[in-house]
Amino acid sequence: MLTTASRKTTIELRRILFHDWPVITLVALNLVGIGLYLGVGPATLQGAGYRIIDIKAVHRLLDAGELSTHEADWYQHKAPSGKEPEK
Amino acid sequence: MGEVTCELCPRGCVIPEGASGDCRIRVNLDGKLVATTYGRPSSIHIDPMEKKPLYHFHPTSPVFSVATAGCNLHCLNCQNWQLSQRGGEEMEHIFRLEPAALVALAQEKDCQSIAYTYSDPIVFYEYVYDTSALAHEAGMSNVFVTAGYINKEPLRKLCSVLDASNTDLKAFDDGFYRKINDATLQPVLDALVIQREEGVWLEVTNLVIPTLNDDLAMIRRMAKWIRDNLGEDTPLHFSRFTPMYRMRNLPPTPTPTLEMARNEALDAGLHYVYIGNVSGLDASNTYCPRDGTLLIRRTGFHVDENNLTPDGRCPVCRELVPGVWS
Repeated sequence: MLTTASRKTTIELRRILFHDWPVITLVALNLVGIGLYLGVGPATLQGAGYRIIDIKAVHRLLDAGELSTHEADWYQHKAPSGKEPEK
Repeated sequence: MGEVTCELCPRGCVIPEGASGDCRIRVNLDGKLVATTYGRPSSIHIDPMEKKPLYHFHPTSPVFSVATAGCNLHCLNCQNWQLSQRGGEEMEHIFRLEPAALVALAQEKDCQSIAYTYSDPIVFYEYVYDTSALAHEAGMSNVFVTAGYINKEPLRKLCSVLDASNTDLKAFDDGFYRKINDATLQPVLDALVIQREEGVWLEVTNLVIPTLNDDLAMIRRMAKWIRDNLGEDTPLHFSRFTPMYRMRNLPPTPTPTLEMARNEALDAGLHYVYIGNVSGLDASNTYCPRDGTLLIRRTGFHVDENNLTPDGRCPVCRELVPGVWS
């Protein structure tokens, strides 16, 4: 048997769920997003990292010999189609 | 042509043409990944070996220390951020020093070791490798000062030309690495084990930052991990934090905190635990773990007294002290 007070609470909860569900959903999605960001973090987003650099300055210094064109080790070409990379 | 995937460090950057990896110095030029700071260091100094810090490797010897721009970590407390958080094209000073010239210059300056340091030498890997190979041919030693955020296969190859390493273990907490260093813990633990397996002389540094990684229970877990995975004779340096870069809101580490950390590590079974960045402490000295004899007395980076026998033993009990002493 529900008491009057608890019945009122139930009705109030139903009202909130019916009328305010978009807000509740938005808040929940935000919380999930924040949780994912804190839990996973940018450091583990492997394969996503690169930086936009001043490539004109890089070319200028390369031409002047201030920077090097030495080919790096430990990389692969990534197939444009997203297929298996070629060596 | 097109994007390239860098496989040097755990970030695995996928780099479009005209951009760099997260480290800023590995640049995709027309589909070729280029190490733009190869042979182009921006910092050159002669340091005592104790500054690396390496306390069990050629004590007091001068080490020719080089670094280029760039880093694959982004520590909020970086003390060399003007170097590490920039690309080569942003540097005021760039020296042209190809590997052979670097080795020759180090010899000319009477240095028998070359240290790759200041920023993280992982990102200028090819320069380190080629220079180290030449240095070995010339009978010199190579020292790697790193945060250890590197993939296993490149590290194993590099170890073949390295002699000693001081590797940061910034905290025994993955959350710390993510928040403070923009990295993760496990690759660093793997790098420590690999260096040990490959026979590189290894010392570990832990910078103790008030409120962030000074929890004694965590420090004990870290010390036990070092004992179990790297060995009880692995030197561990607790280093004092000073406010720097984007972390100026915290005070320097109090000396008692460092002393408590050291006691935890000693209790956990490590034999050689030091405190760094604080002068005048007994914890800068090396004592025999068997009988407590003072073996090496240090003040700052200076060795005041060295009582080890020529073959690296305690003069009293003849206990062998692991290290490279000659």
